[in-house]
Amino acid sequence: MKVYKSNSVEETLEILKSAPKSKIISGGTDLIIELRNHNSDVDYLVDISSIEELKKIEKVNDEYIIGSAVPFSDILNFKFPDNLKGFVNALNQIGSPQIRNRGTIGGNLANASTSADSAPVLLALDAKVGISTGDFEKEVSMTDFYDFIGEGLYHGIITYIKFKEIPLNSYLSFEKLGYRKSLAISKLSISTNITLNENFEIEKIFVASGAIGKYPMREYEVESKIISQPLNENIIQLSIETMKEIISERLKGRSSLNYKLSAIEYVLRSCLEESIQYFKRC
Amino acid sequence: MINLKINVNNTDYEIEIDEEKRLIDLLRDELRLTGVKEGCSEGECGACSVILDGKLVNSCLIMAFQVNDSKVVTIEGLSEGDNINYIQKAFIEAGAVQCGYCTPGMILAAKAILDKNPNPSREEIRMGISGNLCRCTGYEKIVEAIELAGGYLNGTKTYRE
Repeated sequence: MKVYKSNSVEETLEILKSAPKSKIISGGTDLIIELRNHNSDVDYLVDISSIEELKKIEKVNDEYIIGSAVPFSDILNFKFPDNLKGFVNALNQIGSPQIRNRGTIGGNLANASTSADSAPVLLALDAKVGISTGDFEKEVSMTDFYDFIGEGLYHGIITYIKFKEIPLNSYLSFEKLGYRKSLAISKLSISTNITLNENFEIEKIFVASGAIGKYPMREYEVESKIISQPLNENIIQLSIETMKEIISERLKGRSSLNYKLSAIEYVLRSCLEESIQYFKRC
Repeated sequence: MINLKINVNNTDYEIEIDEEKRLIDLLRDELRLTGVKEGCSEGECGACSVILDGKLVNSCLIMAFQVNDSKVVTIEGLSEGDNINYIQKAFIEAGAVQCGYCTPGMILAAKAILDKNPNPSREEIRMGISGNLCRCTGYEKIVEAIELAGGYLNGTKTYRE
């Protein structure tokens, strides 16, 4: 296997094009395990962790722009407002301090894992993902991201992830269930991004899930059922019942079905109750 | 083979190493720093923890070629000659070492916590060592040791000779 520490996106893309079995490494917290288990057929490893333009995190006007090679701990050192608490919570629950010091937001998306903890919050924030290949540069909405990359991103790299700040009458939350507190791979995760109007009714809603489908995804059916409704206990119940129907259909025949049907009740309720608490404080 | 420049425990090295080797292989096999332990090889146990450019990392999950021009601190880099450092003293004092396999990683996790905040809460300590498994102590004495080390550092506790 050949290895190379790349200095620029252009250089990286040239290598990806010329070496068909090349693979990108940054944090390496998933890939090195894959390589050692011989699950990856790689003959050229290109390290992008030193490319300065991929390591920036900044707020430009009303938008947060995060380079794909920014480790989670560096993102967590950035100051986010209270109503983006779900984003901070999601990133704080990834792996362990050691993993968060190396693992990157780009890597979390690029390997298309259904359990990727940053994905539901990015879906709920309607984030955009910048992708460069040798042939084109494209900005893909998180909603289309997994269809776009399929089983994984080959011959191209994620360059940035960006999302807009949310207004004060909006709140992003995240909850996950794993087998333990640290280093837990999500067994089920939910993120909600709710905007209320002055009558305490849901003006805008994003609901996204992780680990209950092939990829993390938006839950449009729940969104459509509770939009324009007042955010209260009845709506929490309706959301949970709707998600249970979705999970029953999606995971039909799977041994994890009953576990996830119970888990969704806690996870979704936590997100919605935390949102209510925020709106009451406002 | 690739050539690598690296500073480990304040010593500069120029090493030729196999492309497929990880940082842990470089430290243990090439530099004979066997205080770095290999446990799970998957980033779950933290026994291989080292401090890379100021950050606590799992050396089993980093390729050696990635650390060119970097600075690494292992457990061997904490003591000065025959004198162990204040965290190591606190671990002994609190009885936080049993079989010892997790101890080097645990002490480096403690260093990462105390470098940031010399007076961490118990919750911050528990969060800070959450990537390090110990199957002997039940963690309580390790948390006590890190509190004690914090006391040594901020002057509220003194060593028992």
